[in-house]
Amino acid sequence: MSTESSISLTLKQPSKRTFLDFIKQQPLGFIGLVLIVIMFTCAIFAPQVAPYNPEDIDFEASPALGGGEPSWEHLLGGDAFGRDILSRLIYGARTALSIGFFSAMLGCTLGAIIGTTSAYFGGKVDLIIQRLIDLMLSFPIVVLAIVVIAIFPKTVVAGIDVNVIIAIAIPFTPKVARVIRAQALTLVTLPYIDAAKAAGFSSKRIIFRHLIPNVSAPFLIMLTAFIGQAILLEASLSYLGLGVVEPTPSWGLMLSGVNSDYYRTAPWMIIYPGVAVSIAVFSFNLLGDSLRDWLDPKLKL
Amino acid sequence: MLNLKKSIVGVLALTTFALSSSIALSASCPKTGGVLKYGVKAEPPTYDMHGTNSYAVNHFVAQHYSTLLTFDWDKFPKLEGDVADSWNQSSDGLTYTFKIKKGIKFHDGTPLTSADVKASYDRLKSPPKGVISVRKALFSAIQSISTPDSDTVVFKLSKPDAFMMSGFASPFNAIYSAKDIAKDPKFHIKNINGTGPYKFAGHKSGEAWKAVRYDGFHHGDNCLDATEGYRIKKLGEPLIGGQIDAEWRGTAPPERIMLKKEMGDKVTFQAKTLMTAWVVSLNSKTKAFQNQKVRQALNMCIDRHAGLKTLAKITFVAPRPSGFLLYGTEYALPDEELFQIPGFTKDIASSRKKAMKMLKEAGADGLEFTYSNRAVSHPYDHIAIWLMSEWKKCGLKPKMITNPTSKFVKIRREGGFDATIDWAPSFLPDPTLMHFKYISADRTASNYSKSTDRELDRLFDAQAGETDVAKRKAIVHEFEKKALISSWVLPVTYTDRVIALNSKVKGYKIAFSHILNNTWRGVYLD
Amino acid sequence: MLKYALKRILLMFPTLIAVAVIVFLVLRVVPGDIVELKLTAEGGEVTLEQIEEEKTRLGLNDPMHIQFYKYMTGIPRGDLGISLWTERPVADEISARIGLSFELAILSTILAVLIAFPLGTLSALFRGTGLDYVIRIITIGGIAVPSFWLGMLLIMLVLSFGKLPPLGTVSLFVDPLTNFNQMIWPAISVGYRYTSVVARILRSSILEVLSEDYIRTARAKGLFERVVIVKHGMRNALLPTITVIGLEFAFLLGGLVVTESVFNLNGIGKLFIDSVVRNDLNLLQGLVLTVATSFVFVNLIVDLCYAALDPRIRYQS
Repeated sequence: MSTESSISLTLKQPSKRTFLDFIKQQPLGFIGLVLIVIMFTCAIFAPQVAPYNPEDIDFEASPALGGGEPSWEHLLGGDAFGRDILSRLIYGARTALSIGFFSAMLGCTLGAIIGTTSAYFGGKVDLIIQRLIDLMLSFPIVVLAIVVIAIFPKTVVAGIDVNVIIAIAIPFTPKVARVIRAQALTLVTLPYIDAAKAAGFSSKRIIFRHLIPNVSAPFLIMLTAFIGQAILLEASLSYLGLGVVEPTPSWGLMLSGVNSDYYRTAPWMIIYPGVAVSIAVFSFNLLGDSLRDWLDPKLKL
Repeated sequence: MLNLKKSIVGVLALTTFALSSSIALSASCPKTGGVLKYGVKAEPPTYDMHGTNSYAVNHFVAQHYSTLLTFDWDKFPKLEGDVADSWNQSSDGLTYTFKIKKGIKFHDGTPLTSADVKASYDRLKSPPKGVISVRKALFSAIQSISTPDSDTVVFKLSKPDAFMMSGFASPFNAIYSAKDIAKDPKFHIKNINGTGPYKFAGHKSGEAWKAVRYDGFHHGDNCLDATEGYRIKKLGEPLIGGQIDAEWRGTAPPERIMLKKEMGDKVTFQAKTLMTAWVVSLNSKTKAFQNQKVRQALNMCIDRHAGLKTLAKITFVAPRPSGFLLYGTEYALPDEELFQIPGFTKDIASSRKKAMKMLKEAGADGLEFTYSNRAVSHPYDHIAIWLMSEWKKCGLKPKMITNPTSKFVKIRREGGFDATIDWAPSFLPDPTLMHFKYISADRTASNYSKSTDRELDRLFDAQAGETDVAKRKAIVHEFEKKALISSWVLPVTYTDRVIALNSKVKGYKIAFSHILNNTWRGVYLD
Repeated sequence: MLKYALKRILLMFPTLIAVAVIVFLVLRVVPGDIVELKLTAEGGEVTLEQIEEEKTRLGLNDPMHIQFYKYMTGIPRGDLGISLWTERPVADEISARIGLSFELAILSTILAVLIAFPLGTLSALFRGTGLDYVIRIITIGGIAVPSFWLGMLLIMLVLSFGKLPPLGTVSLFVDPLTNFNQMIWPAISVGYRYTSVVARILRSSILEVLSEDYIRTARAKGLFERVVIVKHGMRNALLPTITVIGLEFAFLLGGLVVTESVFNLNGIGKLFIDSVVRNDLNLLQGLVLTVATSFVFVNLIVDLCYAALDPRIRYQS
């Protein structure tokens, strides 16, 4: 009897996890990524991209004086002072992205370190840190952010409101810490951590070189989600007058303050900034969702 | 027979009486009834009129109280009596005698006598511990207050005071009941008991401020059944949407355009220049500003003529330059003289050229300095954005730092700024009221520049005691010119106040200040 | 179950005390001066002595430990101090307004749950179809669109059709129609995000559960599809959904803060902003404490529900 089988066993290659595969499998995420890249470009190259200086006053283009409608000169119209809305949106991207990115980064990094450290040391340290995290989670994000804003005086470094960044980062930290801790807990019991401890590596080294790199998946997912959140939070705070203030361009600020009287006579003034915020948060969410699907669909976050 | 005659006479008398009183009523109130809903953009920190200058308190509380004198709104600043029936001033100006109207009763039923007037002014002049009287200094000239009988009050002054008479008409100098003050000097901080046209009917925190008509009002021209005051953030939507029918502080030009567009002839506007002067105070501790030429240069870079005209279209500033005194009022510098002073000239190009030269000579070209701004849109943000761009045209590098009000006032008092936006509110164009801010810092807490100028002090004191109008004018003009050239404080302009009312609100007469004429006497709904 | 519940409830008290302490400490650091604001913001001659006098009268110059003592002993009695702005008890200021915020929160939650459940379920069941995509876009909109912007647009919408509801809170029991008119637009504005998040988590939970082994077993057993989904699928999909409903409540409270400002409602959200802007420390303190406490309670309820539904949780801790 012939043992030859008509079924040929071909060795299946493991699916390549390259960038091109990402584009193919997660089209929505790719769109999000593209939008994000566009925004970052605008933000970084704002002086080159924006047609006008965002602080240049031109009363002729103000709806208060009858002008300001979107035209070839001012593609998206002019605001109360006739400042070009498109330029202010572009520079506003700078504010939104820098504050959004840095606060999310700060919050997530701090949260990751705290969560991992807590999981690694376990015992009493873990218990105390857990309690503290729970404590901070007792406050809604906006409330916490506003309280921090109330405390920290306005500090501007290189044109960025550092106090707003800290205010937004702090509420994120416990949320990230909790998730990362859960993930790290599954790693600490692994044999290679025991081996590292036996080999005499310092805690610091173990945490930073062995644990943290392995929680990168949830970290990245939370990071993208929180950048979107941070942008939304910055817009809300600026709208309330508690975040960025004049003359810094900010999407949230463009919806209140000097522009708030023109809803009905010049509706473009409040449509475009709102759309800008929505698109920004939308694209980060798309990316975040796709990253989650791509990296680990079973990840319970 | 006799009875019939009597009854006919009786009926005739009654009819005549009814007719005449209804005539009298219709003279002061063309129509009675209705509830006036108004909005106020701020929250009152206290109910005590003596302890505040806040318009929020004024807008809610003024309707409940009377003052000694008030203004004839048609012939402002002519005075007429509120609780006072008649008054006279001694020839040396040191004694004021007032006769109080008879029959006035407080809302709680007790009668008003001269003792109440005395108690109120004692409280204003020398507040007991725990009570704040923010205008205390204005009464320092009063030496004694006496009440020879129950409807006469006599004020004796230690020195002549040109302003005192008008001070009696300030709505903030409300007449309180002496027994309330005696019971608790802090009574009026949280309670209201007055003799005004409308009686307090309750205020739930953050909710409506309710008041009802007071039937025993001594002037009888309170035409509304009730009033309801609401705290609002923006004026436009509530007015359009029918949530309120009036607002007394004022609208910005773009709001007016929107209201006109949405409400057509359902909205009426009333305009009068508001006597709040916007100024920029320069810090005397800032090294660069200690050079007068630098300060003057800052003044000269601002295009007051064309710039203010445009600025007035987007926020509620007046469209033309002004000195420290409101243009067009009795004591103000005439335009020909004002427009000669550096900073007020019409040729902005040469003014800026000169300014840049002066800056260079002083080694301050391209000077960087901080400008402290208050985080309120109208007109602070607007003025700030405009000033920044004006100063940049001279090569200066101002940096705008905006803070919420509580932090802003602290910075202003502590001198944590190079330049700061500032303001001088008033309800009368009287130099004693308006120039008070600009004398030396050791005499007035509202001189945030912390500058000292003894010459200005001397001129101020001279005008304060000078009762001859012509002589006083001359001294005042000297003061204006000197202060404007000294440039520690740079005047921006006055306020263009335009209030928006739903057209059904009638009988309101706008005055020179948003804190005047808020008792709503004569206001009716139709 | 009872043991777990008791344990969690007991754990709440030290948490609450810690919250109170932290609130106190943190708020001492706030700069700015309410007394100055009250007295000088509108002009007038106020000397430094007068400001200091007022401060002492309001208890702001008391040494730290005395302030702390007054604060901590006052809380159990319901005395949260007096508002530095209105000089009325903080507890009164809060209780006058909390009804509105509570009603708004409940209304938004009901709206959210009522809409999210059908949306999420449909989206999961008809996965991949046009309906699914439409629903997913709607839900992503809820997470991306700023609620205050939505509020502004809604106000514009209402104004173009007619009048705005009257100012001044009208109680639900006094005049339900006006009350509804006042509440519905802010509820939509806040609830949109809430709806979206819940719908999304429900969708992914259902999808995950439907691919589990035991579902395949149930189907293989020949049970009706509907029974499979409802009995086995939903119950397990509910777990993460309920967690999210609880977690998102935080966002709701935060959303209230902004929405109340947009719609000019007299709730604790607006009070919160006012107290920050005015530096009314006592009021701010009382508010943060109130919010944090209610939050701890909500978390507790969510945890208990979760434990009731999933026995594994009870035995874990």
